[in-house]
Amino acid sequence: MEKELYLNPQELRKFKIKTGIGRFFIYLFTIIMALFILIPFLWMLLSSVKETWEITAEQVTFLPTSLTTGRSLWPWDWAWDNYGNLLKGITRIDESGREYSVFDPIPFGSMFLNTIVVGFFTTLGTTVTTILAAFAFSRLNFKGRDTIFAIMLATMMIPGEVFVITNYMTLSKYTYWIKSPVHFENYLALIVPFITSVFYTFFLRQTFKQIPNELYLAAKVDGTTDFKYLLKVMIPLGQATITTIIILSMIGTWNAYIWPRFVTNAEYTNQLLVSNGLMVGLQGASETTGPNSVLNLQMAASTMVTIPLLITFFLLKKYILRGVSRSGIKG
Amino acid sequence: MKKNLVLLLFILFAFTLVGCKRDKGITVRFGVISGQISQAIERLQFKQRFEDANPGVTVEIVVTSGGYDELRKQTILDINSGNRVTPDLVLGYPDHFAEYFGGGVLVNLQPYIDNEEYGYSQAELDDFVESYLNENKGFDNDNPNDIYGLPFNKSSEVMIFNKTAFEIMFGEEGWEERVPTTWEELETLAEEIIEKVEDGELDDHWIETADNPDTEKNEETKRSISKLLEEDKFVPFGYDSSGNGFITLTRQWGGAYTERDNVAKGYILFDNPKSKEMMSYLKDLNERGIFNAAANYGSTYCSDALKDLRCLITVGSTAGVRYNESDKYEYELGVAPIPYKEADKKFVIQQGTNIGILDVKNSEEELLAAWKFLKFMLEPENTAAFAMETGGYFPVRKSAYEDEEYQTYLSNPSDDKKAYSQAANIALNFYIEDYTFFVDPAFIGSSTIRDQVGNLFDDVLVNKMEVNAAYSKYYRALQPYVRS
Repeated sequence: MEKELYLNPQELRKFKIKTGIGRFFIYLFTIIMALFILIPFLWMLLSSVKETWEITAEQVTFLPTSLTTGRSLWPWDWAWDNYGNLLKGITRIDESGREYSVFDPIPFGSMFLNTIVVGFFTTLGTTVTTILAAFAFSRLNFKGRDTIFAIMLATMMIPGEVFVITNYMTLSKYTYWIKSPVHFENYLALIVPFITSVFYTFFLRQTFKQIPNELYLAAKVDGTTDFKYLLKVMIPLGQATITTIIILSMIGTWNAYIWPRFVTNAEYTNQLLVSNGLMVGLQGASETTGPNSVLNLQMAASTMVTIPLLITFFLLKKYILRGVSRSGIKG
Repeated sequence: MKKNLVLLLFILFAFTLVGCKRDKGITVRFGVISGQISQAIERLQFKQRFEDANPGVTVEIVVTSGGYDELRKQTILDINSGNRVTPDLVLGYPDHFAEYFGGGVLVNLQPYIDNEEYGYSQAELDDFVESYLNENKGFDNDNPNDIYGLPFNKSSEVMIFNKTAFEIMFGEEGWEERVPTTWEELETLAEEIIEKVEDGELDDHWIETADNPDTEKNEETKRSISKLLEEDKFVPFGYDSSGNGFITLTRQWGGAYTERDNVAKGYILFDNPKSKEMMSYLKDLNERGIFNAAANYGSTYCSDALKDLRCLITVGSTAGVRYNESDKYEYELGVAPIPYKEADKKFVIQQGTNIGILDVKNSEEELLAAWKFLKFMLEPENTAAFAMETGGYFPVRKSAYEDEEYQTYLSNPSDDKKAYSQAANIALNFYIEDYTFFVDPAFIGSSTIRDQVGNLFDDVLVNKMEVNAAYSKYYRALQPYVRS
């Protein structure tokens, strides 16, 4: 009788082989998928440290190669100058000793600063409005609550790009913020339209809904106000979701391109954000009508703006994944 | 905690209340694209100089990141949003202006030009290159000669070649005579180049890999052009822009391309024997290994091939001449006019944008200020300065070529402008008088047609499509533009 509880060795071997093969294919698949994602990144990194001649040469090389020997170079000999050139610009001196610029520096300092400022206030605004709205929709009872919520959800069906147009029209009609030479006003144009989010409200409302009613009633019995209950109970319990919202909102600002491009006058380089700043900065070197020979600088610039985001991702990976996997959706 | 939150909310709302009042002076907004053009405008201080001369007027240069199409989209959005953010002056191609005209916001410049006080005299108007002005006419069917825009940054196409290779092949004395002026000469020359390359005449001149100081072996090798030819990687002549190639050469062969009824409606005409003859001729050259489109070299621009010595002659934009300089191989560049087929059809394309004035609820003072700023930027010394600063563009007025600084630029340029200066000389000495600058009539959709004929060109030369089949394919794709 007891023997039947165990698989016989033959079965066990079969089982092991089966799972082994299964696992092999799973790993193979994962590795191939990972390569699909990693190779463009790797290519970006390698291209960013190649010389210009190598980028445009007919022979495609994987690692940076020496012009004189044609062999792959050691990492310390790679064209790390590309990064310096982005910051310093490239100047040359002609025969008469006059200095001229062939590539103007990209204002990374103000680009990063602006993005952080805009990201901070947008996130702050989003978090505050989202928490209050999610609380109202999940906990407070008022007339038309579900109707309003349904209308809000319906707006999610409309692509974000469409809102860009209406937001632009509203702001240009009622404010002076669009393309304003005043830096503060430009901040307002970048921040104010994004201090609310239907998606995050919905996201947080679902979390708040899971908190049992009994807690609320118990708090009420103890004489707590709604606001205090929100601060002391709901927010700490919804912390994980709120953290996710904060992170996703920050990443959203970092990646935003269409809106900043529309509302910022690229003439004022100190007002540029990371995304549109890159476009403006690199355009000086690669005219839309001219051959695009500065791919290495473009890749270096892309690497420069990706790295902060990558570091943030690895530091906060736990929270980002927790939020995303809990909801099963990504912002 | 509660207090802090209330405070934060208060700050956020305070943000939304800022920016309600502003004093109303006259502001001229000039919409341009980022890059070379906006940088040149900034360096030449057009804004400051105009403001100093016209107290009470503020100029705002509004730079849109991206290309002309982005500027067009942004401007259309601005027009729909109301007057505050719409540029008063905007840079654009004639087909963009056609859209603004259709929207009823493009200002007719004729009354300003004719005005005795602040307009142009006949002599001044004649000073503009005529074809540049013609491009901006024909918007209004009732008054087809009314001008709706003025030229700003104008470029063209030139033939760029590896001068050093010419010197090697044809001798330091005789090479100049071998620079082809017609397609026939080009064909003969290309055949001769191929023979010379086969014989290895160009093989020992450009170092591919040099001695490596770290090893004892002598590793110096030279770029072998003959080997490239064997591998079918060397084709002596390339045409950069497929769209321009098709349009220019159709004209040179005597064929028609498009015609328009008015700015809203135009038609294609390129399915004609002349145009097909041209395409078959190019296909034949391509099959014989003489001629390539940029895509045949695996690039967007032939300059990549020229820099890599896989090509010796290209036709490309004057704005991109400098991109043909290589950091790897040492050679000098030569610039010449593009080849023509017959002496009475020396057509060369005219590229680049114009400036128009937009009126979205503007006051007359604002429109006048915009006109004055436009006029200021086109003063001979300013258009010359702009041409020199950007390099690839030409002055739009003939007298600008007489400008002292511009003369120096033409005869004795600084290193960085050498190639551009050569191109400007070509424009001055050949194109303006001897060649016919052309631009195709702009109408809504003309840029789509341009893109499609570029694809046709590539389909025949790169995808080896049969000529008749390619024409039928693109006529089907452009069905809305076929006159029924």
